Amino acid sequence: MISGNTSALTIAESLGKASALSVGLGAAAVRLSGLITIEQLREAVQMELEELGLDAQVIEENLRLAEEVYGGLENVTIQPEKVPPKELVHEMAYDHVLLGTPSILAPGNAEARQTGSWRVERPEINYEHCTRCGLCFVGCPDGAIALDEQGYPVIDYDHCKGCLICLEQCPRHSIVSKKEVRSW
Amino acid sequence: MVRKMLTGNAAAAWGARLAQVEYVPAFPITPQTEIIESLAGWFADGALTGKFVTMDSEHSMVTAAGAAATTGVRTFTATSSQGLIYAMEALYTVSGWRVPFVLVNVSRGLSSPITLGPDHNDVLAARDAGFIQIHVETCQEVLDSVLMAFRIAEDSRVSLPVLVNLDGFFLSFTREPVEIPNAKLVQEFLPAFRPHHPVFKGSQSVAQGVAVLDGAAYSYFRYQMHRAVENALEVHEEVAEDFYRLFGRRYGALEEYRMEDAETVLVMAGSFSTKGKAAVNRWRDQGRKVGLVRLRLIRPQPAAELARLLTGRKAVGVIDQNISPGLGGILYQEVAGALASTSDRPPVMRSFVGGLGGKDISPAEFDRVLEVLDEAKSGEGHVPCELLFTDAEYKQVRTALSVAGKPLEGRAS
Repeated sequence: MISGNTSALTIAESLGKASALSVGLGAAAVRLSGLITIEQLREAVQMELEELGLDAQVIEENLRLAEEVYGGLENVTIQPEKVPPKELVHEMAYDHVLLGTPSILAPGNAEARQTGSWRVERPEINYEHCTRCGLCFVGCPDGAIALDEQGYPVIDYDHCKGCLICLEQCPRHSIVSKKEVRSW
Repeated sequence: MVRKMLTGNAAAAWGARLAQVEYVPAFPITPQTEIIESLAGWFADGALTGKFVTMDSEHSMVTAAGAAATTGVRTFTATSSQGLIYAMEALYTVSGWRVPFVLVNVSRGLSSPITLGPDHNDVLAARDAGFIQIHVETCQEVLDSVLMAFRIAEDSRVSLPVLVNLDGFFLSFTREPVEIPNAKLVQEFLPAFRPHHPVFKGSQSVAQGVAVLDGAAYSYFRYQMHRAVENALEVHEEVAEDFYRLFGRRYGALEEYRMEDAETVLVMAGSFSTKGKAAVNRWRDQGRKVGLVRLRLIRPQPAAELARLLTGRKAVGVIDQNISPGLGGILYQEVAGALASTSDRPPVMRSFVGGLGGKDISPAEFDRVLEVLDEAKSGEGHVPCELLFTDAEYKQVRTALSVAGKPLEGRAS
C-alpha cells in the first residue's frame, strides 16, 4: 500500500517512535478513510501539538511527517472478510457476590499495571550531582524509586507516573524533568 | 410482643433497634429527624451499642454507611428529599461496592418550590441507583419492612443496600397502633450479620470498590448488580414467608386489594393507597367492580406478577404521586412497560398525577379517575397524564398569588 514519494522505510521508522505514533498513524488512518483532506489533517496536527506547548520546529517536523505519510499512501478499498469470524455472545448468569464485587483479594498485583504510560513529565536523575541522600526514594508516593547497591536512586519508568515529587524533594536539584512528547 | 401507638418515624427507629444496628451515620432533615433522634437516645442510654455519628452532609453519611458495611458491621441510616438527592452520587457508589445496609427515606417533595409535604420524586430519583426499594403504606409496615430489609440486603444472592420508603407527615408524624415484635423472635428471624465476601479487618489485605477502567469489567459488575436486584424478588418472597411464620403478618411484592373480580384497577404506591382503598370500598358499595394494586417492591420490579394481576382487566388507572416533567407519571410508564409484551393487555390505561407535595387526593378526585376510566375508549393512543386538582384548590392558589401581589388584571402583557 505504501508507494509514491515516501519509502516504506521512512514511514516504518517514524511509526516505530513513540512520539510519532499519533501523527504518523493518524495521518495513515485519515488517508485510508478517504474522508479528510490534507489541509484538515495539517490543521488537526497543528492544534493538537500546539496544545502540548511544543517548539515550532518540532511541530514543523511532525507536520512534514503527516504530509509524507498522507502523500505516500494510495487510496485503497478495504475489502471486508467474506465470512466474518463468528463471535460467541455470552449469556451472563448471576455470579456469587464473591466474584461479582469489584474487590481485589490477592495482594501485590499493582505492579502488573504499567502506570508509567500515564507519564507526561519524565524525571531524570543527574548522577554526577546525586549525594545519595535518599529523599527522592522516601518521597516517591508510588514506590517507583529503588536504591541500588551503592545507594543511588533508580527510577522504575514502568511505574513512575511523572508526578515529579522527587524533583521537588531533591535538595541539590539533581533531578530534572523532560517532556515525554518528543520530536520524531 | 408489645402494642404501642407509634409514629412512622418511631417505627423505623424501632426496626433499627430490634435489628441491633451497630453503626448509624446521621444527618438531620425534616421530616426524618425523629428517626435519628430516637436512635441517638438509645445509643446514649445503652439500649444500642456501637457508634452513632453525626456527619457533615448526607453525601458523607451515605458514604460512611457504605464504608461501615464494608467492615462487616450492621449499618442503618435515614434521610429525606433534598438529603437523598444530595447523596445521589454516594448512592450509586456504595451500591457498586455490593454492601448491605438499610436506608430509610421519608418522602418529601423536592425543591423548587421548597415544601415539606410528601411525594415520590425524591425516592424515584434514586430508582436506578442499585438499591432495593420497598414502599410502605402503614407504620406497622415501616417497622416490619426495616427488619425484612436487613434480611434481604444481607442475603448473598443480593448483597446490596435496601431503601425503605415511608411518606412524610402522613406516616412519619402520624401515630398508629404498631406491634413491636419480641426481640428473641427478631433474633431468630434476623441473626447477626455474616458477610459473604471478605471485609476490611486487621491483617487482611483487601481492596474494595476498586476502579476497573475498562468497559468489559464495568459491564460485568453493573450487570451483576442488576441480577442481584432481580434476585431480591425471590429473596423477598422467602423472607416474607419467614416473617409471616414468626410474626403473623404477610407482605407481598405487590398488594392486591379487592382484586378478585375487578374490571377496573387503580395502581398506587405508599400511604395514599389507604385513600385509594377507601375509594374502592365506596365504589364496591355502589356495585362497581373495582380493585387496587399497591406497588410495594419498586426495585426489583415484580413485572411478571404485575402483568398477571392486570391482564384481562378492562381499565387500569395509575395514580402517580410524582411527576416527570415532559413525561408525566413515572410509575405509569413502569406499569405500562410490564404489560407491553402481554397479549391480553387492558384496553384502557390512563395516567394520573396526584398528591404532589402532600396535597390530598379527595373522594371527588378519585371519582374523577373512575369517570375518566369509564369514558375512555379502547385503543385511543397516547393521552397525556391528568393532574388531580380541585376547583377549591385552584382558588386557594389564586388567593395566595393575589396576596403575593399577583393579580392577573392589568399586569399580564
